[in-house]
Amino acid sequence: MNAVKKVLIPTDFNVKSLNVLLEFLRRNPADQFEVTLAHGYDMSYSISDLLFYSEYKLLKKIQSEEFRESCKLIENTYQSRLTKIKFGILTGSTKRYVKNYLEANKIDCIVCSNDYKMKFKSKNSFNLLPYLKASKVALINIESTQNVVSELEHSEQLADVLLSGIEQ
Amino acid sequence: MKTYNKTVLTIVLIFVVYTLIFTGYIYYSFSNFAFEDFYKRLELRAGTIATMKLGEPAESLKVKETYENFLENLPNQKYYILPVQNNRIADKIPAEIPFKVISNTLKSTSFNHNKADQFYTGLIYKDAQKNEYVVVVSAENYFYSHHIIYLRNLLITSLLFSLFLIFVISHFVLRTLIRPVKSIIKEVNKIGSENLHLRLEVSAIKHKDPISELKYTFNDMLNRIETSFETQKNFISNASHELNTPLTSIIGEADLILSKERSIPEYEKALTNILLEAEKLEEKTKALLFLARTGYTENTQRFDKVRVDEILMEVQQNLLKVNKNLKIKMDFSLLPESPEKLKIKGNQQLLHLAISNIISNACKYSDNNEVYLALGATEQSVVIVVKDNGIGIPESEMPYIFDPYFRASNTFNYEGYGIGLPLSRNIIKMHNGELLIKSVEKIGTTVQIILPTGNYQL
Repeated sequence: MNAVKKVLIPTDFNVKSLNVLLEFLRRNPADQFEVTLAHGYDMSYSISDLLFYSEYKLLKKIQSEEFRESCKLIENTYQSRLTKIKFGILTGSTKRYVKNYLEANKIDCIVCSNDYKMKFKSKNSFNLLPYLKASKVALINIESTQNVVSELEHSEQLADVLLSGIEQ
Repeated sequence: MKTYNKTVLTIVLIFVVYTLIFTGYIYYSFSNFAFEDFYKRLELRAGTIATMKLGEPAESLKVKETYENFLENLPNQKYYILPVQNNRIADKIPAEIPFKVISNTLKSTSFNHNKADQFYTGLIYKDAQKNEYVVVVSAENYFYSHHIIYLRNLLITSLLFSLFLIFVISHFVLRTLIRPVKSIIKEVNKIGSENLHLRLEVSAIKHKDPISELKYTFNDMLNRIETSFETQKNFISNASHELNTPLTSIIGEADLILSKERSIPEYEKALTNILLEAEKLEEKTKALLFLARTGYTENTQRFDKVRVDEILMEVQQNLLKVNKNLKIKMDFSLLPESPEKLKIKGNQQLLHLAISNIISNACKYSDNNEVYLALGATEQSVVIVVKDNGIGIPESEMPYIFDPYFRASNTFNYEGYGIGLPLSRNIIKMHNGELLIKSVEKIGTTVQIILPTGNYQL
């Protein structure tokens, strides 16, 4: 069996953004992956915020229930090929920080979709893609996964993920 | 306002009892202190006077010096030295000393007594020659006679004053407490069956105090009442209309055919028409009966292990059997790898009915265009998504789509009774599931059926 590949996917924690992951898994049916869904989040500089920083609480704030459910759904679907879906919050917006993060987590490749427009719930979130592109880790671009769901933009429902397999 | 007065009275009573106990305790302990303190002073004086008058000359001189220098005479102070012989007073007892003082002193070597403001202390003194004397000192307790009365008056006036204050304060506090309740009562009185849409005024920010919570609760209740009221109204009018239409055509047909003698084929044709209408009627009443049954009897159905994907396949095949033009696209790409995740606790027939209702609705209102069907399993539930690109549901009518016999305003071109969706929802509710519908008019509808997994182990 091949070694587990560590994949990082930048996300805005919208259900639709998971389509990139789904598409990637469909295209690589043989390998095993450990997926990190990375989200850029600018920390506030307030001392109390820094003191009581909790990733769990932050994730709870910026992820919707539907998103977590969808992740579970994907995990169930690709049980044997997905060792884990992790959530990562990147709090720094420098190239060096992102590079260090990728190195520390031993990320093998980055998967993203250039066509996907990030839509953030929190105004503190930022798009990680430019920083990721600057790093030397292999970047895999998944072209637009245009499908039936696109008419109902960001309906934030499980349906966004469930119907992604149709018309391909 | 009887409860209002009662509350005021109760509060006043509680405070009065409290202050009474309080002032009583102060008064009692203070007068007790005045007595004890004064008797101690009298005893001290009796002792020193006895030593001064009857003791050894050297000692008596010393005591006399101290006495004169440091002890001033109490108001009305008098002393008596009475020699004792054979346990009786030898001389005549002065009239101003109560007899009780002498007799009790003889019995118990020292005794305290008071007669109005005059306080007496008697004690037995033995001099060097072993002669016994009863020494009695009496004085007026100025503190008791004057200060304690002042204290008593002070306490009584303050009691009366606080009583008044308590009454006024409790009155005001209660008034401010009761005012919002009164305003609620006033507002609620305006709401009747003819203007159920009215609501209590609430501040935009949700406060946590009981009064605004009461308002919110009341508004919630009004919402529920209004919906059920509307449902009831709609149901009755729609049901009677639905049942009436076939009946009218049956009656009309029969009337027409009976108006004169006709040939056998004509009778046959009319009877076929009547039969057709009667069958429609029966179908409707049957659906109605089913709706009522699923709505009220939850425990009569038997629940077993059911596989959702099997039901979906069955539904699809059944629907295709009826109409070959249907295009139902299944997406099983997100099926979980372990089939256990797809097993739920439920009733096969009912679930079949509910799902086929929803899918056939999707086909019907999208003019047999493509209908997408997907299935997946999350941690706790199985999710079925049915999506069509049909006529959708107008946004303003979304709240009513689960009402029996309700039909959206854009459905006049399509046949239906308005029973399918409420029936499906009842069935899904019976399985502790959820039915979510999202729709945009003229673009399409997405229906999500969420059923809890049965947690069956392999």
